[in-house]
Amino acid sequence: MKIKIATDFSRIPCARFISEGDFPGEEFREKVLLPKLKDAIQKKEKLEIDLDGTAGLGTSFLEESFGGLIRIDNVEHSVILDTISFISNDDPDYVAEIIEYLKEADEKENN
Amino acid sequence: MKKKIIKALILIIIFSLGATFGKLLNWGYFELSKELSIVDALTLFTTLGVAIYITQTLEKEVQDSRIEKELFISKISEIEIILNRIEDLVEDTDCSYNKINNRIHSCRKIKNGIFESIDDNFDNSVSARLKKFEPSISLGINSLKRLLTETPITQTATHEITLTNGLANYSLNRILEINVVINTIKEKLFKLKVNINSL
Repeated sequence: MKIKIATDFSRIPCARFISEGDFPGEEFREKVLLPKLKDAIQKKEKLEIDLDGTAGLGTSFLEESFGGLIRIDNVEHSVILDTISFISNDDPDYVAEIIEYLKEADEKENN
Repeated sequence: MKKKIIKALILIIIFSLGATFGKLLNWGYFELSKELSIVDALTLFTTLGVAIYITQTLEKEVQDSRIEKELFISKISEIEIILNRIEDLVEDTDCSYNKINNRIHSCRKIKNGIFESIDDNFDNSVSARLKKFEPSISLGINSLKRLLTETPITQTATHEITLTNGLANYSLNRILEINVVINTIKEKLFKLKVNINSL
């Protein structure tokens, strides 16, 4: 299974919430990421997320999209890490960033 | 056509004057020998070989290395230009969040490109020396990204960033924080430039 943010969602994703602008992380998580993730978990498949081809992925967009899976949708941290893999040739730093946001969200939820 | 005729006339006049003075003053002249000793021949060919080697190989190497250094330095300057633009953008009220997002994205892409090329183009010792700058520059750019693009999860009384309909407003404190981080990154970039220039 695969999601390419630039084509399956938007080439210009914005910030966190719908009120902040078009194509925020909240909308991406609810409409694209979570349904595919649930499907992948159910089918015991890997979900590959392609981060290339966008105008930039801001901190809020990434935190809300991925951290929100733990904070709002109660998906377990380890399940996300086992299911999701990333393609990020344009900027490999995004992967480390997302892993950090997942960790931060998990720590906040468990404290 | 007229110019060519004038030039030819000037050449003839100069040659005639030279020949006349030479005859009048009876200056000495060179005698060209048809014989050449083996030592002289070897010296001549060695000198020719060295001259060709210097012009063709060494000069080219020096020029290539200079061009390579200039390319790296101009790439680093591109990051500095983007940082300056970010500095200007955050000062504005209602600046485009997507524009800022795109600028910081470009910064990171260029930075990654520079350090990948350092790996590919320099030998191990030089590459290791230059790559020492990567962690601090990456850390700076990542901190800057967070300061620029992280909006709060919950709304608080004091807003460092307010974002509505894609337009961002930064508090004075946040602008100062951003400027401090930008200046730190610029210092690191300058040191990297100096190091590349001194190679």
